[in-house]
Amino acid sequence: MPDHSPARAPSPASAPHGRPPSPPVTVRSFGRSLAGRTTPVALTADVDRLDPVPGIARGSGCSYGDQAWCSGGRVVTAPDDVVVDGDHVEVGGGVVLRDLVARLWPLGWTLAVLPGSLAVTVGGAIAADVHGKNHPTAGSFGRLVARLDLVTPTGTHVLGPGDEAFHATTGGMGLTGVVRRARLALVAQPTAWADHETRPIRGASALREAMRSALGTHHHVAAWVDLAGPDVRGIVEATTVGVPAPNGTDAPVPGGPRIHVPPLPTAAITRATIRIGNAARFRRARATRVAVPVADALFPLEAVGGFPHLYGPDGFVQHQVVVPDGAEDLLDDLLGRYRDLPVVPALVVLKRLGPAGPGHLSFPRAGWTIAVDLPAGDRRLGRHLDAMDHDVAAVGGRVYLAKDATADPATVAAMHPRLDEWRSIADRLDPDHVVTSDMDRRLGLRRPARPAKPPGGGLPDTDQPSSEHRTTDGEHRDA
Amino acid sequence: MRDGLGRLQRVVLLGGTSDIGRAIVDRVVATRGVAEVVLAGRDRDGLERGAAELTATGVAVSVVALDARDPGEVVAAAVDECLQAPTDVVVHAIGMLPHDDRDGVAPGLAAAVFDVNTTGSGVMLLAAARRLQDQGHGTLVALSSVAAVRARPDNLVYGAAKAGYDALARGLADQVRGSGARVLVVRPGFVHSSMTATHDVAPLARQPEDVAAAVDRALDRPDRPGATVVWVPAAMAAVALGIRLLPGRALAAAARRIADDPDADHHQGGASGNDAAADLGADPGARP
Ligand SMILES: Cc1cc2nc3c(=O)[nH]c(=O)nc-3n(C[C@H](O)[C@H](O)[C@H](O)COP(=O)(O)OP(=O)(O)OC[C@H]3O[C@@H](n4cnc5c(N)ncnc54)[C@H](O)[C@@H]3O)c2cc1C
Ligand SMILES: NC(=O)c1ccc[n+]([C@@H]2O[C@H](COP(=O)([O-])OP(=O)(O)OC[C@H]3O[C@@H](n4cnc5c(N)ncnc54)[C@H](OP(=O)(O)O)[C@@H]3O)[C@@H](O)[C@H]2O)c1
Repeated sequence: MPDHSPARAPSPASAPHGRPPSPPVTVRSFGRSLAGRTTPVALTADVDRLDPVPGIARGSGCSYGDQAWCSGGRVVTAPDDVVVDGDHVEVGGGVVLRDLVARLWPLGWTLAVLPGSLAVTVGGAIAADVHGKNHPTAGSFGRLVARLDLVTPTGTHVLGPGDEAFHATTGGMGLTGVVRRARLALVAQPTAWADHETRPIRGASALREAMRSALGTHHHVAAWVDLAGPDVRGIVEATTVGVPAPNGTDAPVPGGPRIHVPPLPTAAITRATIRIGNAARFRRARATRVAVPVADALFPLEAVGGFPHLYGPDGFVQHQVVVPDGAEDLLDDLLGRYRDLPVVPALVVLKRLGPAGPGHLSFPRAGWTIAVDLPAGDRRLGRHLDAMDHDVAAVGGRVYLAKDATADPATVAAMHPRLDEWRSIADRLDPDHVVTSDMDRRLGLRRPARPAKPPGGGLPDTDQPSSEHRTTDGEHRDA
Repeated sequence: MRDGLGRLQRVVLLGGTSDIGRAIVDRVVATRGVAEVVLAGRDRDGLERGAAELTATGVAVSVVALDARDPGEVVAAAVDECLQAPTDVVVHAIGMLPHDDRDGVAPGLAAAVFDVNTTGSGVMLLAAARRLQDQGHGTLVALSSVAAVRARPDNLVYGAAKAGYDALARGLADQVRGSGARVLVVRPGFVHSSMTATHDVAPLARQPEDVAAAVDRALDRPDRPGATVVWVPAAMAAVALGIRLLPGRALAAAARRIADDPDADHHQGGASGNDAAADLGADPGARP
C-alpha cells in the first residue's frame, strides 16, 4: 500500500548533535501569554553545523513573545564561557549579562550597551541588537561586536562588521543561525557608582523636552510614564555611570532579584491597583540628584524576580514601537490611545533613540520609543494594537520584534524595507529554512506568511476565484 | 501561529458544509482574527458558497476535496493537503445521523454510517493528530456526541459509530499530550442543524452557535487530562452520567414511549426507508 503519510522530519530529540536525546519542555514568553513545546539541545564544541531539524537559538527567554522557541523543533543553547582579553572580552553566546558584568565591573570595565534587564544573554542581545537608555550616544549592541562565530546549516561562519551576514545577524532574531561565540569591545567604568537625577514632569511635550535636555548632561535617560491617571505625567530619570564613589568604597555588582513573585491565581495588576500605585509613585517623586549604585539606577526591574506573575494566569504582552523624530503628533496620539485601551497600560517607559545602525532588521532609529506592558486577557486589545502598528508603519516607525507577540505579518513587512535583502542573506546561510521560530512562522519573516499558492489544490474542475488565496492586508483582524 | 492574545492565523474545517463546523469557524474568524481558512468536503457547490461568504469577511479561503467514504490513503492524503501550512485549529465536523426507528436502520445505510462516522472520520482524526503532533502546536476539535457515551435504542447505529470515534479521539488526546498539540473531544446533545432538521427535538436542544461558544472557551483552557471533553450544554455531562447508569430496560421503555407517541412519530420520514443500494452521497434525504 502506498504510504501517503507526510515525510517525517527526523525527530527533534533524535541524538541531537551526538548527545543523548532530551525530552521536550514547555517554554513561555517573558509575559507568560504564549507557550510552546520544544526540545532543548546544547551546542557542543564538536558541532560546526546545525542539523537539518527545525530549530532556533535560545538565550534566557527574556523576549516577550515566541521569538526563542520552535514548536515541534529544537531550541539550541550556546556555551557561556568568558575570557577577558585586554580591552575586549571573548564570550560564549549563552553567557548572561549579569554574570558578565559581575566579572567586568570589578576590573573597571563594562559594556557600552546594556538593556534594562541583565538576565539576557549575549546571544539574545546580539539577535535583538538591544539598546540601552544611552542609545543616542552609544548606539546598539551590534556596535560592540568585533567578531562573531555563527553556526548555521551551511557551517560555521566567522563574521565581522562589514560582512552582510554579520548585519543580518545583529537584529536578526536568531533567524540566521546560532551565535556560538562573540568578541566584544569594552569601555572603562572606573566605579560602579552612578550620578542619578530624577524629575517629576506633567504633560507629554514637557516630558520630551526634559528628556532632551537631560541628554545634554547625562548618557542614560528614560522616563517612567503614568498613563492611568487623569493626565499624562511621568518621571524623567537621567544617569551617568562610573562617578567617584561617595564614601570611597565600591558599589556592589548586580546580585539578581531580591524579591520573588510566585504564580498568582488571579491578576494583582488591575486598572484600580495601577491607578493607585502610579499616583503614589508620582506623588512621592521629587527632583533629586544622588549617587547610587549603577545597578539600582539602570536596572530597577532586576530587584524583583517573577514580576510577570503579577498579571495572573493570562500574563501580559509588551507593545514597544519607535516613532521617528518629526512624528511627535503620532506619539501624542498613541499616548491617548493607550489610555483608552480596554486594558490598563500597566508599565510605560519612554526612551530616546539615536540614528539607526547597519542591522537589516534592527529596531532603533532616531526618534522616541515607547514600551507599554498590557494585560493579555482581553482579545479586543488586538485590533487596537494592529491599528496603532499600522499608523506607526505609515510614518516609518517599527515594532520591536524582541517584544512582539501580536503584530500583523503585512504590517511588519511594511515596517522593514530591507526585509527582502535580509531574506536572501539568511537563505544563503540556511537554504532549506531549517532555522525557524514560532515568531518566524507567525510573522513570515524568513518566508512570506501567506503561501503564494493555496495549500489545497482546489476541487476537480474548479476554477472559482474563492479557491484562490487573496493576499490580506491586515484588515482581517478588524473583522 | 497563535499570538500573545490568543488570536489565530489558520483554521481547517473538515466537513466544510457542516452547520456546527461553520459556526465554530465563523466564531473564531470574528473573534480571533483568523487570516486563512481551509474548507474540506465533498459538496463542491456548498463549499464554494461557504468560501465566498468567508472571503467576503476578508479571510483567505481555499477548498479541498474530501470524502469520508474514499479509501483510507486517499482520505489521509486529503487531510495532509489541508495541513500543508502551520495550522492552529482543525475542526472535524463530519457525520451522518440516520433515522433509527422500530424497523432499525437498513443494512446499507448502517454500513454507510459506520463508514462515514467511524472509519473515514477515524482516518481523518489519525492523519490530523499526527500532523499537529509533528508541528508541535495546534488544536484538533473532534465533534463527537452525547450519543457516544451511551447509544439509545433510537440512535443505536449512530451512537455506536460515534462511540468508536469518541474512543479514538480521546486516545489521540492522550497520545499527543506533551507534544504541544492537543485534542478537544466535543460532545453536544441535540443541536439544531441540517443533520437534525427531520429529527424530533430532544431536551436541552442547542444552536450551533452554542457549540461554537463552548469550543471557543475551551481553546483558551490549559490542556489537562481532565479537560479533553467539552459537553454542550455543560449540564449534558450530568445527563449523560445518568443515562450511562440507567439500566438498559429503562432506556428501551423510554424510547418505546417516545416512539408510541403519535406526535413524535410523524417526524420520522422516508430516510430510514433507504435501501442498501441508495447512493447516500447524492441523496440528501438519505442523510437526515
Ligand atoms: C525586564 C526586561 C527589560 C528589557 N529591557 C530592554 C531594553 O532596555 N532594551 C532592549 O533592547 N531590550 C530589552 N529587553 C529585551 C531583551 O533584551 C531581548 O528580548 C533579548 O533578546 C533577550 O535575550 P535572551 O537571552 O533572553 O534571549 P531569548 O529571549 O532567549 O531570545 C531572544 C532572541 O534572541 C535569539 N538568540 C538567543 N540566543 C542566541 C544565540 N546564541 N545566537 C543567535 N540568536 C540567539 C533567539 O533566537 C530569539 O530570537 C528587556 C527584556 C526584559 C525582560
Ligand atoms: N446536530 C446535532 O445534534 C449533533 C449532535 C452531536 C454531534 N453532532 C456532530 O457534529 C458534527 C457536525 O454535524 P452538524 O450538526 O453540523 O450536521 P451537518 O450540518 O449535517 O454536517 C455534517 C457534515 O458531514 C459531512 N459529510 C457527511 N458525509 C460525508 C462524507 N461521506 N464525506 C465528507 N463529508 C461528509 C456533510 O457534508 P455534505 O454537505 O457534503 O453532506 C456535512 O458537512 C457531526 O460529526 C455530528 O455527528 C451533531
